[in-house]
Amino acid sequence: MKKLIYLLLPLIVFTACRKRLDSFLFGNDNSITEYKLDNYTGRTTLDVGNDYHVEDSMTHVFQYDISNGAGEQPFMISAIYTGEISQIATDTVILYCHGTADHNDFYWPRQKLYSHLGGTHRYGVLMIDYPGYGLSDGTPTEQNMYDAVNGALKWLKANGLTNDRLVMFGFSLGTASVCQVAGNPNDFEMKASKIILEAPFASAEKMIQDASVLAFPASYFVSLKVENAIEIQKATVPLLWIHGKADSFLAIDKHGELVFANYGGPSKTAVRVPGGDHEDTPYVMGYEVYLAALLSFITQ
Amino acid sequence: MKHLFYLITSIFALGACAPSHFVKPLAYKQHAVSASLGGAMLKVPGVATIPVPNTTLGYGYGVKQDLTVYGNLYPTAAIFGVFQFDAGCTLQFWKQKNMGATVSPGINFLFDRFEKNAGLWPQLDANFYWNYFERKTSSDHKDGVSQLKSLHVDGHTNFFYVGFSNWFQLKGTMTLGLKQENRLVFSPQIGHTFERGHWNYNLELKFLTPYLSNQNIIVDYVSPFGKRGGLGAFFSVTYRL
Repeated sequence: MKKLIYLLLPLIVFTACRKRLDSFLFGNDNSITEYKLDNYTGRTTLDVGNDYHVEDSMTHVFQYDISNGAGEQPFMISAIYTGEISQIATDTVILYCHGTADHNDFYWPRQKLYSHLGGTHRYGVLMIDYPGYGLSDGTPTEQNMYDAVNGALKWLKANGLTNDRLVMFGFSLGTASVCQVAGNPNDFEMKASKIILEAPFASAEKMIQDASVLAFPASYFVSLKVENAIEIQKATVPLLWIHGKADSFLAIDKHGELVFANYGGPSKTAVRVPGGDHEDTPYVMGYEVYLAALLSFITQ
Repeated sequence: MKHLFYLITSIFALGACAPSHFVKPLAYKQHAVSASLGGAMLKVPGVATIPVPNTTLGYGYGVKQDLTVYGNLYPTAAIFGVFQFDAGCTLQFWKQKNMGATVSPGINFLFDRFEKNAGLWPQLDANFYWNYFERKTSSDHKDGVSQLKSLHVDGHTNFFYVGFSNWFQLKGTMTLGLKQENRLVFSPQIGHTFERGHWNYNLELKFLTPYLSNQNIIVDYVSPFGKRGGLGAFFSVTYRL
């Protein structure tokens, strides 16, 4: 009998354990109680100085609620819109899906930068905190992230935005949402007219296999289904891809090039940045050169 | 995003590293149980450089004087819903007075409970060992089998070993249909074992894929070869019955 118990014990442990490692995809920080924006003293993605200032009157912090699709109570998502909300009905708007770090304060310098694209507030810029990030409720999961992005699209649509004036921009983790929308537009409230991917990753499984050497399925570690290199095959809108050639985290040849090569849409533009690492590509390019590349793509 | 998969891939990272299970064969009809702790050394930001706390629980049996069969379960993997098991044998094909050489073919099997993905990786290890200290204790067992066992469990022996471990990837493709460029995953190792009565205490360093770049990936491996490979550190104990 004892031997039987000993034999069954590992099986019991195996079947009882449900620990997944998805949470490691999300570097969220929800310890803040308010967005400090220019007064934020923590680490930030970039230092853009005072050259890209955004007036308080053009900065709108707001919340919207989403359902996580599992029949649970809706929860609140926090967002920042820069520009005139009343002009969403006529302006082109960039929906910026940030990376995995911290919260909106971390990425605020980028939102300021994009608010000066082609002139101050030529384009409205919306940035959201995913569930579990910053002031947003909920827990960070892949589906919750997509739901939050869909909630942002719903908010933009309600404010008069149409598909032809929507540009979706994803950075790093944020490229998952952009590729998901681009590849499956019927599953979302709106369809972007153009997409921008900065430092995208090919897939969660690719990240794992690069690090483990062995061809382990992603399911050995995570429940994540992110497959940007697959979703992008279904895209039907123009793509701008920006990637640092010295990206030490998501290597350009292992990730960005795969996404770019797999793109199945009508028009694609690549900006490979010599010396650019994962986070600092705008700085390495020079902010004005970087903005000019974005503007050229959006206006072409 | 860099910290995200630090613990992820590390659980079974870089060749699913585990220490050598039996460098020397057990005595004929001898049983042994073992446990090990350790894995690839990683830089974890804000914490330290630590070996991954991978664990194994194993069993071995001396089928012949020079042949031991064994199997191991991986509890750490089980915590994450992955059933990992290996099985194999250690054959001593050469022996001199104070040294010998063994080869250990085996298989590694992994299966996750979430998507039911199963994978099989054959493995071939080889080791050369050298006893540099040996003190045998005589015994009055009458039969040969017991006497052979007693020589193993009563003596004190220290030995070094060097060898290598190979994992073979049967699938020709990686994710996204990419070509598998590392069909053979090669990692040399060095180790030292203290045999004290029934107990063996073992320390092993494994030089994980020292020919592959460890740059521009989501994990910061620590390697004596700088930008190539990784270093695995393991401690294991074996109790011989």
